[in-house]
Amino acid sequence: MQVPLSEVLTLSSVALLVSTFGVVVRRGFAGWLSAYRYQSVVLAGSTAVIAYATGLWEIYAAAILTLVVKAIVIPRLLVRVTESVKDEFKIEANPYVSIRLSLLISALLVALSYGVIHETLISANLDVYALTYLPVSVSLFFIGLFVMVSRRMALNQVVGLLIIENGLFLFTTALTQGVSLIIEVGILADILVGVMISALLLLRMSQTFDSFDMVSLESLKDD
Amino acid sequence: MTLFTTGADSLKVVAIGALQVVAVFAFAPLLTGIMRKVKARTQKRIGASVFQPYYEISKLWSKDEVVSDYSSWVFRSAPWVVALATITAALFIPVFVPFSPFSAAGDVLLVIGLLALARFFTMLAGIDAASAFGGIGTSREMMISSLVEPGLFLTIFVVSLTLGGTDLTSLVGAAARSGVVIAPSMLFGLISFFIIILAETGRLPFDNPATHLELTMVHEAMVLEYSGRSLALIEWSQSTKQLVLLALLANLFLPLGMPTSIDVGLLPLGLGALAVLAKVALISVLVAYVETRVAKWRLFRVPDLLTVAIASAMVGMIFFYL
Amino acid sequence: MALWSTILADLTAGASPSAWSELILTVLLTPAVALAAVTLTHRKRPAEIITVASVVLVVLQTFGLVAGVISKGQFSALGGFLYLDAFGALVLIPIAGVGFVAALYSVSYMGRQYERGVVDDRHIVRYYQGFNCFVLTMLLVPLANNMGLMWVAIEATTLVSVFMIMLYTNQGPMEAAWKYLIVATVGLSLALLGIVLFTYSNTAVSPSAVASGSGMDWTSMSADAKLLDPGIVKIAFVFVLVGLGTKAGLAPMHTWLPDAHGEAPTPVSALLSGVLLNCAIYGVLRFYIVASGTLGAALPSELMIILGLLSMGIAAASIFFQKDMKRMLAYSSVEHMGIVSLAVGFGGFIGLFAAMLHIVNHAVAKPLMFFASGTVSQRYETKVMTEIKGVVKTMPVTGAFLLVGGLAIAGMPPFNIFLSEFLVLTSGFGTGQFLAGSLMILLLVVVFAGFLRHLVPMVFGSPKGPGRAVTADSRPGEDGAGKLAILPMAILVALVIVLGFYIPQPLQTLIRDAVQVFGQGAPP
Repeated sequence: MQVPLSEVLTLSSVALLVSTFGVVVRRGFAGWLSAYRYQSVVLAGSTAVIAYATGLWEIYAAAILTLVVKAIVIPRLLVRVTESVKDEFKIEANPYVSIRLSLLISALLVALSYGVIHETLISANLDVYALTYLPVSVSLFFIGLFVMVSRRMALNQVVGLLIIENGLFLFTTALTQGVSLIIEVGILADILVGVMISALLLLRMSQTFDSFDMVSLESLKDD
Repeated sequence: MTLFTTGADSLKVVAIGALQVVAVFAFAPLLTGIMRKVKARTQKRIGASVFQPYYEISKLWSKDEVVSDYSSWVFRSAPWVVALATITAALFIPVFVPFSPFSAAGDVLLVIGLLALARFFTMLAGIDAASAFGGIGTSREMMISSLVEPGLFLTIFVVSLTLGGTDLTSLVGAAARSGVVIAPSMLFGLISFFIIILAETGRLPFDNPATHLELTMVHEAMVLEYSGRSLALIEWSQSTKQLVLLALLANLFLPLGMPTSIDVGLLPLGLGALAVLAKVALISVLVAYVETRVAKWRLFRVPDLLTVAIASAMVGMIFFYL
Repeated sequence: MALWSTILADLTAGASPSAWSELILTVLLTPAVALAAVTLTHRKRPAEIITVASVVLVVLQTFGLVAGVISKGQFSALGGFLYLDAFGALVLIPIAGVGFVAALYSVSYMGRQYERGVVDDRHIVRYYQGFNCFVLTMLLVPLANNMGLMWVAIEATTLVSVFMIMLYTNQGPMEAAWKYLIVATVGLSLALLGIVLFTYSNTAVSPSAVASGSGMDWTSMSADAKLLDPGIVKIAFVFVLVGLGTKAGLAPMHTWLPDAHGEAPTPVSALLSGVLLNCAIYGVLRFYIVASGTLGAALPSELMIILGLLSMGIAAASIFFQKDMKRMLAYSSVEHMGIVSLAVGFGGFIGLFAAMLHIVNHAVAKPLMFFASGTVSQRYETKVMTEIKGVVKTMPVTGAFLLVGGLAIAGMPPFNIFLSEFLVLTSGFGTGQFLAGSLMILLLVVVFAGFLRHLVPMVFGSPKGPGRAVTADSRPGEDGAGKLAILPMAILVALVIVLGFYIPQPLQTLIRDAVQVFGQGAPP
């Protein structure tokens, strides 16, 4: 039974979107970190699908690298660095937008991104990878942005950043199809270093500030 | 599609319909037994035999009932209403064959309505007995079902939009015809429907069917006052609802092996029925496995999962319109 | 002029073609080696010496590269991965130059902080490690041909600069670093979306690009500009403009800038304002070239003008009411980046010439202001402008430099900023953009007034301030700032004055060549 390519691509993009919902709906640091692991695995799987379909070894390498860095290294790093941060800084007790509402808004953002892509790129002829994965990655981008804005705890804003990076990675892989493996590696290295630095920053902040509330991070203002 | 064309046809149709309902009623406790066995095995217990629910129902049937003085006709009639509603709903659903004799008279919305009627009477019965546990169960059930119902409707909308129509026979037929082609909207509908089924049948993480602790029971709390024949009816109805919903899941979203219509001869029909049985058994094993992996969620976290189901169904509708 | 050309001819006569490519590689290797050396020695004194030595070498090599570009046009290295043309060389000059003066100033400034106990040994070494890494990543930006590599380099500069802002562990820098990290990363993600879309449109029309793996190279994109799909390029350019514009400090994405530049250590602020913003706007302009090749100049220049005016407007209002010195300078950077954007939007030869010149001029004047104000605030122990008075009496040399720098930044003739701003206005009115030009004049007046309003009470008047080294009877003539702080400021002041009158011939030639890269207009 020959499964057509578009079916498999659809399946993987659906899985990616659902795993993103799984990340958005979590309330605590530990929760979204483990959901993020799942999402990274699904992302690596989608990348492997593209690799299998195009036959380029560079994309296989990118998939494996993604799996290792995002599903193993980054979660472990974040857990290690934030071990000493108090639990009250890790649970999202009072976000700006409630978790359930943000989930519904994420669904709407998926619609928005699909609409935007179809409206603006209706003239361009996109190949099947771009057509499937472009809207998904843009919606991941929007969802990540929204999550970052709606969380109150600084530690939980990192998840928005990571979702954005995932969408970006998918976007790059689907559209350029391994034009430059070095660039993919560079991007991954950037993400890794970025996560390290933000974790360090958050660690220092938790030692300096009384609370992690973003509200208290408003001392720098123009008067 | 005409119900009765010639005499021979109409006979065949009625026979199949009757056979289907009987089969549903007969197999339902077996499904519960399989789930319990799987849970036991994964918890490293031997567990009771898969036929234990049959023994329990027959035991309860012959026992006396104790009825509270404070209850009214609602309490006494609720088990019968629930059982009749569930059987009637089963009549409209093509469970083992892609055909149900009454589907021209009632569609999927009627089925949902009947199941809602059953739930409504159960909730009333919970409050009617004037016990504290019943009140707990009813209020919790109301909270959960206020989110489950919209989710169920959205999922059915997705299915109706994708497959066309609300008549269940034509829906199942269309699903069987579409073969391997997976529409993305159906995928999202599948995820949403799976979560809804967990909620409707009272499985973890929404509700623990094996507990009687005040902190954790929802459905069990509502039917806590029942005994004897009424309890047997309620248990049987619950199992039947489970089988019917799982069969709907299998027939609409995973139609492999289902013949496309009833006019294909006896052997393919029989094979199709066996395929449905196998699929339903597999799904129930999956559900049982999922149950052993999660714990019961805090009541105020339960809407999170239901919101995921609603969001999933919403995205499914979006994908349909693309 | 004959003198310059003979010097140039002598320098470039013996060089073989591959020598330039090697020079590109060595100019990148120098700070890398310095970074390794600093990490190895891990002590304050050696770190300072190594860093200064490395930036001196970088400056010398940059002169070499500029000479090569003037004589040869453009050349590449690493098989087309790296590439240098006139525009890139122009951006390279501020990086090397400001790096040099910042390194000198760091020795004095951070030395003072070290003596006062604000930072300790570990932090100082970390500072110099960060400094070298910063120089390395910034050098990579104009040298990259592959736009993905450029993006990686810009993201790396963000991360390194966050690291350096994090050096001070009080509340202010922490908050600033966090906001900077978040906003810059989101902006850069948007920019990557745009870059990938550009690449996609390139590989879709050019099979040779796919075959040679050069789909992401700027040279390939600009060569294929006319063939690219306009629909995709339109969206892609907007993404890149918003994304890299965030990093460049264009309004309304500038919100991180006042915090980050205000809370960083002074030499780092100078590098951030004088150089990093240039690198970001360089990225925007590279894609502007491609986009105007595909879409024509109408839409892209519209967008640049709008963003430019918005930046100038917001900056002008904020400067007028500002209380903190470094934040005021940060808003001034926003304003000047707006001017560059406006100049490019106006277009034509004069507009582009003015934009290039302004990039260099701003990179000269802004670090001067940061250094002067940094020294002053170190002595007075405050950053609030209303608390500082009589600088010219307590620190005569620094006070004079502060005055000159302030007037220059505000756009007073005969200093260099005035010259480039005047050219921008000329191009604006010359291309018929009367509304934009008039708005620009109005906003420049507001900025000028704001600067003078803050600067004059600070410089003149009887000395008064919260610092313990400042008393009403400080003897005039005692400056208190080390030689190594005065020297870089003196160099910059000299440049500010000289560039107001006279642009050296090599620089003129370089800017003309850079404008040629834009492909618009012929030299008059």
